[in-house]
Amino acid sequence: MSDALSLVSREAVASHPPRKIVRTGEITSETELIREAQAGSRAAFDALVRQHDQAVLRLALHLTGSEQDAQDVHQEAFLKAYKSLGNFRFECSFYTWIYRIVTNLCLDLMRRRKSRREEQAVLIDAAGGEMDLLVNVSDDRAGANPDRELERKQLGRHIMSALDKLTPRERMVFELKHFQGLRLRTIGEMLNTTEETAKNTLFRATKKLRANLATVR
Amino acid sequence: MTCEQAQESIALAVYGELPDEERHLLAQHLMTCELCRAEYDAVEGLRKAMTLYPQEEPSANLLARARMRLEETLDAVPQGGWVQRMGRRFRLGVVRLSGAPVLASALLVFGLAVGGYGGFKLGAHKLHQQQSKMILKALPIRPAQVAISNGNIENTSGNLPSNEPNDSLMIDTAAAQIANVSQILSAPNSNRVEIRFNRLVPESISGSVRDPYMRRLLLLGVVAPQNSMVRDTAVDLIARECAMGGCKEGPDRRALMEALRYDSNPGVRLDALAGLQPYIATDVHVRNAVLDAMLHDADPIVRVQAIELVAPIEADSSVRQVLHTVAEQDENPHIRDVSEQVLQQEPPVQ
Repeated sequence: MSDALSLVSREAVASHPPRKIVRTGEITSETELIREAQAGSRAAFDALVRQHDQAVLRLALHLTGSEQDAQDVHQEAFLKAYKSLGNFRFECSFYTWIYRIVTNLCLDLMRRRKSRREEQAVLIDAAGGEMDLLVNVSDDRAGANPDRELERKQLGRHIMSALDKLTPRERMVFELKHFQGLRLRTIGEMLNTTEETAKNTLFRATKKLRANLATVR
Repeated sequence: MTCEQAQESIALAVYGELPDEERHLLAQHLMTCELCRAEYDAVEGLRKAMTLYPQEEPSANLLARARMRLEETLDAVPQGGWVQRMGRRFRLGVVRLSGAPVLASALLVFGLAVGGYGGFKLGAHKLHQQQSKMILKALPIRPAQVAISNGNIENTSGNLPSNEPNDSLMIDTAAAQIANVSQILSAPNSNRVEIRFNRLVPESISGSVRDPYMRRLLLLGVVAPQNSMVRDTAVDLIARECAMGGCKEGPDRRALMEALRYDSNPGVRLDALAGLQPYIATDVHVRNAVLDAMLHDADPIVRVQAIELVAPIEADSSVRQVLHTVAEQDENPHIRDVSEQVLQQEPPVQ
């Protein structure tokens, strides 16, 4: 069993030191970009967006399962960042700061959607919206091998169903930990909570997921 | 480690969030607890199952659409006027300053240091100016015409030629800071005298011995510590003036009395004595100085000269008492005799 423990993969710690960005032949640090953007430079802000928008879009897409919602989150997050960049005081990394905005927006979205779906579940019964959501996702991600894709879709459907039964906060912590590979301390910072609370939330999330997926296996 | 603690630690261990120490305890517990080992396998299975539902990268099309939409939105955001921009820059400046206390402290320390250094330099400059003023005050300056008319003064200093009409800086040598008087040359049968003295550079001046400036230089010559010849000449010249009755009560007499009392050269003391002679009868201070010399002077010639000088004085009790003392106690029998003779010549005190 100790072998099993030793084999546990430690995800790459999401450490984000000030990055160097190559821009029109000159190397500019992220800190300088932020300062320029704070001083009103739109070009500097665009460079910051380019640096982080793909990760933001990936997270939003995975959390919402919808390209439209992911685009909304993406736009709203960076718009909010643009307007409130003057309040950024370098107390945390820009990555953490922008992710805090994104996670808050996603949590709001998931909460709204969850309450709506529960209402729909009562009305629509078993035929429900879960399937619609899965269809949405799989449409965008069609692979070359139909059998394998079908198998993957089925597994994905079960996993997504299990994830969907988590509370938005549990889902967020699990997402950031499992898929983004962030440290629980960083996750706590993003969600304005402590590392200990993030640990408990992760524990609850894995327990629920295991219970939900036990019947599938 | 209990099973309850192990269950809580398993998820953290699977996701690499368990500290090494607790990992070790958990590994030990799992080796002995079948139930917890099954739990661990289940969570590990969940983690592996989740990899079958990976987080995929957004398509390039989606990313491009999102970027384009964001740019349009940002373009629509009003930029605000220059007042807003200035306000934003000011706020940013404040934020940066508060975010960099070390920089603020360094600026403060630097400012204090520069201020202190500047204050020191300013103070030193002012002190220098004050000292310069004091020196200038100590070296009063008068027009050359006045100096020339005031006793035919000749300045032999190369720096200050006195025959130039535009030379407005003629040093008042009597009141100036003079280091010492080095030589006094007096012309025989004349009241002309040349005095050589030192300031920053050696200088000389010539003029009448009755000129107040020359007289004051002579007084300085009386106290020239290193040069007894200067003292001798100065005292001699002053004494000659005094012997002719040209000394009113004041610095000339005091200088002679000082010379009589304290000068180490007996010749100087004799000259001083001669200069004081006309005033022994009228000036009690002079008389006391002469009596002191009569009693205490180390040189018998001076003492005898003093006795002879006081002899003509009539009926002064202090003179008589001193003569008695000298006649009885002086170590020199000749002086005792002289005193005795003087006393015998004097009429008894009425």
